[in-house]
Amino acid sequence: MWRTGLLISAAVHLVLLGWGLITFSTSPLDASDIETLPVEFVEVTDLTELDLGKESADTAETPSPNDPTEKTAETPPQTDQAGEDDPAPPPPPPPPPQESASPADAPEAEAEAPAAEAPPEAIAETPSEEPPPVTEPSPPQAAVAPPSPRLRPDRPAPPTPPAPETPEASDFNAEKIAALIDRTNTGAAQAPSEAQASLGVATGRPDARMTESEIDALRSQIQNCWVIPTGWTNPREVSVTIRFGLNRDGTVAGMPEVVEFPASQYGQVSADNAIRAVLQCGPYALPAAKYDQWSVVQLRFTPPG
Amino acid sequence: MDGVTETALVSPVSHLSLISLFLEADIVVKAVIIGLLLASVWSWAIIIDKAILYSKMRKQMDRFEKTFWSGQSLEELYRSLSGRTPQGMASVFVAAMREWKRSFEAGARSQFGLQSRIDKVLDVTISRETGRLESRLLFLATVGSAGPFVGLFGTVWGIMNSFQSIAASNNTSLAVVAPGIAEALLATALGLLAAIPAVVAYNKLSAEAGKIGGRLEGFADEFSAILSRQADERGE
Repeated sequence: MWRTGLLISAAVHLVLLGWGLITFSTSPLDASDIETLPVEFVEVTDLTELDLGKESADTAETPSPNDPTEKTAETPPQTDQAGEDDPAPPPPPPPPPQESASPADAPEAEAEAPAAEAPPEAIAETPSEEPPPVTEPSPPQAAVAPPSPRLRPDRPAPPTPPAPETPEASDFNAEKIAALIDRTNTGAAQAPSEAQASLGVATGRPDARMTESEIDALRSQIQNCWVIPTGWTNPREVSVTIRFGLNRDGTVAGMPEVVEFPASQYGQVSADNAIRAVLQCGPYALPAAKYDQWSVVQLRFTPPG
Repeated sequence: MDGVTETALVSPVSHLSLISLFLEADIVVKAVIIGLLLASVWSWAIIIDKAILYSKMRKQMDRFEKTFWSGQSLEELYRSLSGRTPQGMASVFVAAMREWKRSFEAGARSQFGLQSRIDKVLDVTISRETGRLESRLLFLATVGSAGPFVGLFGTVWGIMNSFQSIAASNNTSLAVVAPGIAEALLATALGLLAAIPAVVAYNKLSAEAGKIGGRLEGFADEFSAILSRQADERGE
């Protein structure tokens, strides 16, 4: 008699277990699928450089009376700020060489423009050494280069118009004043308009290339300290983006900040480890002249290989 | 890779399934889980068994009471029932009738002795019947009270292990701890799974057994009264 009860009970348990195996295993999989987020490579953008770019863009506007030309010239600088798209890069590079060759005034204007906001050292160096870096994008000379290339992409419009007008010194000053005045306006206007970011990258590239190499060095230095959590299958599962400020002596200022980390089970660990790596690997040897560029660094950590 | 610490961790489970949870559990946790599963199977076996037994018993008693009060003579009823092994109320009736008949066949005339003998036979039969009804119910009570504790023990043990794995890996991420904790909680879940039905069924079944036992006793008293009246009539 009790055998029937035992049989029924065992059968029901088996059925329930089987059902549990099916349902229990599938539900978490769905959740993990939803959570994985594709993440793009994020470049470092410097606020000071953006400001410089605006100044130049304004000067370009004032000299050139034609609206269409101006707009074309302006659009690149705006994109500079948020610039993160790849398609644009090809067009911007051409302008820089032209600038370096033609306008003698351009370097001066650049030198003065950064002077307002950049450290004194940078100003002293920029006028003397600028011409060479313009032609050569080599990283070692980057100390001087960053400000100049920055301006170049924005410049494309200004150089061409001013070239004929170079003789007039007075006009040039007026433009600069106008540029200073406009800068505030454009700055306010540009901030919200990040939608045009795609073009910005294009202009940003020549500038960024210099900084990028140093940023790469910084990244590799930090990445050596980064303990990647084990067990991941897709690099995305552990890739994190960290933003942190740096002091002039290369030490980390404040607490690094996680910009984004994947929603995988390793994401949080990976982000924590990355922050730890940033804090432990300092201080970093970076060119003091370009402090404006690396005062705030945003790095994306991806597992090597 | 630089600085990657290889530690004897519970390797992170890519997807948590019941089987992987079980397979990666510690041996103690495994034992607890298996024990609780067996307890659950066995307690459900008892529950089903008893539920069937009680419903049968109730039907049987209803049938017997109907025939008993139908006016049929006791001798006739006794003859029809004594052939097969009687159960429940019938067994009480048969036992008492047997004692009654034996007493008269032996020619015993002591009224008092007969009555006390019949009462004793009735008591013994009733206690045998109720013992049969309540057998193995205690297992349900045990599972109901001890199951959660056993499960909790498995959980505590599993969580202890996963904390040890944290200490070993210097990694405080949930990914390291989560599988261990999930395993551990599985033990508590099974403990509750076994205990809850056991407790509910124990309360229900023991109440039912008590009711059936009460009915048997009521019938025994009634029958004892009938027999004693008959003895009085015969004695005179």
